[in-house]
Amino acid sequence: MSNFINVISPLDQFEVRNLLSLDAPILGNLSLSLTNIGLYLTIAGYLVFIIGLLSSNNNKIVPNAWSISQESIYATVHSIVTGQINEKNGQVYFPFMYVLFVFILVNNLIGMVPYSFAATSHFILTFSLSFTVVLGATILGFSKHGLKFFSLFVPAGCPLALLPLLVMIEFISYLARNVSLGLRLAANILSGHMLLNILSGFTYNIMTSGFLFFFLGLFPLAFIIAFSGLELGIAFIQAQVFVVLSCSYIKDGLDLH
Amino acid sequence: MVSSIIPPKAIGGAADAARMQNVVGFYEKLPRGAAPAPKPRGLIQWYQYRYMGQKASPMPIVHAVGALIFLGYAQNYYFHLRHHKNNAH
Amino acid sequence: MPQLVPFFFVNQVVFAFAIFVMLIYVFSKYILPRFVRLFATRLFISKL
Repeated sequence: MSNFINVISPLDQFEVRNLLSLDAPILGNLSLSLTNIGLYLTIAGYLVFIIGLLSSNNNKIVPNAWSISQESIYATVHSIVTGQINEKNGQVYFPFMYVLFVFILVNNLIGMVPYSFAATSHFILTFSLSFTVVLGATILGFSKHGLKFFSLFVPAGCPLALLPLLVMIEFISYLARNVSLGLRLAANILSGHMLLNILSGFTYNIMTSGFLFFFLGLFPLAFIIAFSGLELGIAFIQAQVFVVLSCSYIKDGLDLH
Repeated sequence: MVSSIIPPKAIGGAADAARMQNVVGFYEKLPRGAAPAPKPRGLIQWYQYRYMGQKASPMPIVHAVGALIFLGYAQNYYFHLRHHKNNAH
Repeated sequence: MPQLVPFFFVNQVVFAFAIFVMLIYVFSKYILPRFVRLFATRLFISKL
């Protein structure tokens, strides 16, 4: 019975822990601390940088396997940016989108490593990214169009009687973008990790409870492995979706439909 | 029309020859033959040469995953795995 | 659940944005231009 009482929560893997902290009584009780999410974000940034630096194939024109992987990421993000924003003016946003894609992707993939920590499963982080993107797109729209930016909320050719309602709906949908963009990423990663955790906890209990059960447990184990493959796919897809939607929001700010 | 009558040597032959010599000199100084094999210097360049150079191998991914598992296991061990070593949940 | 303490909100957002901004700088200055030069080189030696 005690097996079931102190079973750890599937959310335990997302716990933020203080690894190293420094409480300095200066600047209003400054407290610097390295948490595990900060550590893994730093590792992700370092990995992105090192891979980008090293997979250059010595600047040769013919690529090798590593530089072709970088080139295909480049081509993917480039086609997203030029396709979503603008063939010509959109390229200004390319470095931002590239870094956004690679950073989210590497964070998702680091989360897939056993015993590791998925930084993108934290709503605070993804919300801060998505709010920044949408707020930036809004500021962009205001600086480019001034008060005409509000015409974004008026659908083309709508009857005057319906206008207040439609403006309300459009406004709410514009606000909902903030939340939905970050929520989608974090919820996908969070739910995938929780699912794997719960399933593997059950499978562990099955497989350790008897000789026959060990072989019975191989069946759910195969499911878990298949789900891990699915999660790898989700890691890529969510990074891509985040970038595609960020681009389309920036396009809305630039072109107002 | 004058230029078509006079043979090319007559129009400032010396200046043209000097310019031509410049061009020839430029191309003569360019390195020839196969490019020299890159000499790795330092640990990072050696790593690049070893795993991401001519013979690209997927080993860097394995190294990164191995390092992450080690780091993550150390953290998990420190924070809770050691507290129930003998009594599993 | 320490992640519900606002201090950790600030902590992780500061980490995320510091790293993010550094990556954007490094990539747009050093790494992405290399791709552009590479593609331009391929274009010059094959089409022009």
